[in-house]
Amino acid sequence: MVEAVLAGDRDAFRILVEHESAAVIRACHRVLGDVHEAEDAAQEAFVTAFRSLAGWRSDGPFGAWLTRIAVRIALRRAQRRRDITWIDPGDPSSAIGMPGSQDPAITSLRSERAAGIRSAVSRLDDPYREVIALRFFGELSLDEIAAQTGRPLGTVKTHLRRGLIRLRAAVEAGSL
Amino acid sequence: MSAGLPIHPTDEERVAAEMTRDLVGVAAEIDVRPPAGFADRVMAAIAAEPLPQPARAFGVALLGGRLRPAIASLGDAWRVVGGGPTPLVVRAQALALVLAVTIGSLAVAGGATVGAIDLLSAIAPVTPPPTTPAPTGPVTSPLPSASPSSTPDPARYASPDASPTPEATESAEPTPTETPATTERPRTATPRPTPTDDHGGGSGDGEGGGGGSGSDGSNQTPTPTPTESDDHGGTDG
Repeated sequence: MVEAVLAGDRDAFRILVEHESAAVIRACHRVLGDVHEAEDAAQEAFVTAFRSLAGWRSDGPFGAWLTRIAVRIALRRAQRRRDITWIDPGDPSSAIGMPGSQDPAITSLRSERAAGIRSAVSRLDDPYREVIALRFFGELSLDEIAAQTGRPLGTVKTHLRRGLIRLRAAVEAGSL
Repeated sequence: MSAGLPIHPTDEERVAAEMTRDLVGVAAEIDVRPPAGFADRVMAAIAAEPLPQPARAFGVALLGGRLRPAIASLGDAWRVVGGGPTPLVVRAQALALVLAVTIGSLAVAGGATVGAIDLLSAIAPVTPPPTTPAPTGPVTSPLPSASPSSTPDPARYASPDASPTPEATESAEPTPTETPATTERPRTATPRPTPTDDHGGGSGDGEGGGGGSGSDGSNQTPTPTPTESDDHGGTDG
């Protein structure tokens, strides 16, 4: 499919978009916490991927490569925007997904907690931020992260562990 | 747990587990689906993307005197050449740019190398020292200053006072074999120091660097009066 796109077949890329858009938008939404912003980020990720399609090494899944692009774009957008996150209690997508929580107060608290965690992830230093975002928001396995980032698996595990500890400190610092 | 305190190593497992749970909660499945027409939107955005024009960008950057955008446009050109869903015309332009810059830089580098080699080869004959100072005039003769310079010595060191005297012209001959003979000649020819009480006249001339072989005798001859006094060689030295 990618070879067909490289040969100039744009309809082949449309098929790729239709196949990968759900996962890409979901990853962007987990980073950004906003549906519309996630769609914009996903669109930018697809356009970027189309431009740099020749740089894709076929040694890994195309979806993992695309997810990395999308997560990086979403993290950049999350860094650019202000720290204040407006929470709509009526929007179920802004809360941490706990089914059955109909209480607006609980929903608001969970939304605030989720926004704090997202903001803290975007404020982490780069190796930790990327590994955590790819692991939890992009749903990539550690092997896929190692393949996409070009780092050894042990290094990825170390970055994940240290990133979680740093994230804890960042969340608590942000909630004070 | 306070934010400022470091996390104890024994608590790291627990903290990592808690953060993992929180992150899983944030990333829990929310029913976010792509909106209708999202693929059309993406394809429209791709169609609206301007075609990469690395050659034009390179020219604009070069005219503006900006080096970094020029290098970036070269990188873009290389990527376009390498592949990607770009039209053949754009790829050909990028290839032409890459080739032109490569050939131009090779030509400049080659010209600079040839110029440097020419410059070095032009300088090289000047730097080797001449072989003429090799004669052992200073070693053999007691007057060292006369022999090393071969040609200009007669004109330079022979003062106007010394020119009429035949000793000056003879002593200036550059042949090393003659210098000992000529240098010894003034000593014998000038009998002046011997009758006086001068105790340093002869030796002082030998140390004088600019005296030359012929000038020693000529310089001493116009001033005979101090030698008859009690002067002990001050002027000759």
